[in-house]
Amino acid sequence: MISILLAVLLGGAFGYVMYRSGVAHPENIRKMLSLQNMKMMRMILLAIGIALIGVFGLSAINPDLVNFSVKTAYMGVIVGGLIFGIGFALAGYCPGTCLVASGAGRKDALFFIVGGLFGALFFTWIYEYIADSWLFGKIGSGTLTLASTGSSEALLAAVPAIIPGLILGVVMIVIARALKEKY
Amino acid sequence: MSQTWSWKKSGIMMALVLLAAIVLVKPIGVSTQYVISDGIIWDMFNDELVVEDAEQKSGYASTNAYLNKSGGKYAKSVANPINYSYIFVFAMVLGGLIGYFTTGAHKQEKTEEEKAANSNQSYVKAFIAGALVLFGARLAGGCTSGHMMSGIMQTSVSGFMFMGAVLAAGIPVAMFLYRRNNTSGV
Repeated sequence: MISILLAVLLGGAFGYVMYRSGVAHPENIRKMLSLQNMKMMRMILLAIGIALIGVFGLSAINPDLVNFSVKTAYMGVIVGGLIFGIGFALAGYCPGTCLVASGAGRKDALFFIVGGLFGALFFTWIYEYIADSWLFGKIGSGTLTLASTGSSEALLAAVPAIIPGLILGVVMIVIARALKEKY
Repeated sequence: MSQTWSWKKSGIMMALVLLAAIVLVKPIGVSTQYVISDGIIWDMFNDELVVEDAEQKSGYASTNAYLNKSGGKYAKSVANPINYSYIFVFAMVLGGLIGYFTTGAHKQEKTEEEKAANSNQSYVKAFIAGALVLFGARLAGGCTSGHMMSGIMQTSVSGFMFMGAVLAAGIPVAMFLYRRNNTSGV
């Protein structure tokens, strides 16, 4: 029951922040990808930067505080990312922002969601035919990270995780600050 | 749009939500739930799609290889959709709705871009884009939330790969579509 309550609170907060930040407005994403307005990029990089510092700061205090869950690196991540990028540019929505926009009364978001259900269904059907192909060939051991997380193979295992975590976090924030809003 | 937060406030608030999720539950992810929705609808037409199976790690099995993978993890969610990850995405819709009404955006006149988005041409484009985005996200094993934000905040190599690929395809396509006439191109 507590997990359902957390889902409502965290999902609600995530959607609300997406709406207020403007990321659920597809015009902003189109302007970001056509390099006309970097506000969304600044927001995302700042968010990731602070989150990096938070995650590795907290886990340095107590590793049990952070529930790491690292996704596998395989060739399909790149191919899927390229296909994703084309659709992302075309509509300006991603799988999360379209949900938020639909709540905010955008009809085009509903069409995107229905299209998304078909796209996901098509993948569900063809998965068995591509499961053994090169697309799912793991890169290295698969669950790769730069910093040690306890549940992944760290490329920088020799140094304490907080060092790459903090450096990467600061780099993200510096880039976010350096980007201009309008180009 | 006037109530839109600055990039700083947006970034800080987004980071707090991302951190709260990874500390309290797990990293945020969205795109898997499209598969769960598909499974729930499909299961209505096909009783044998998802069945209980004590030999599977999750307790459920599916005749579909994708729903059956990882010990029937997705099959279990299809059978029991009242779970954290599935409720989370519906709460996101609610979050958007609350933002829309509490900021008074519902009373404001629609912008030119919003008006242009309400056309058949734009709906067809949104449908095709949605299909591409979710197919791509499932092939990649995650989306902007799961790979890009939640992934990179853990320094995942897969997160950097995904972000690089999305920008490598998205920027040229957006430049081609929206840059020439310098409009939103809807």
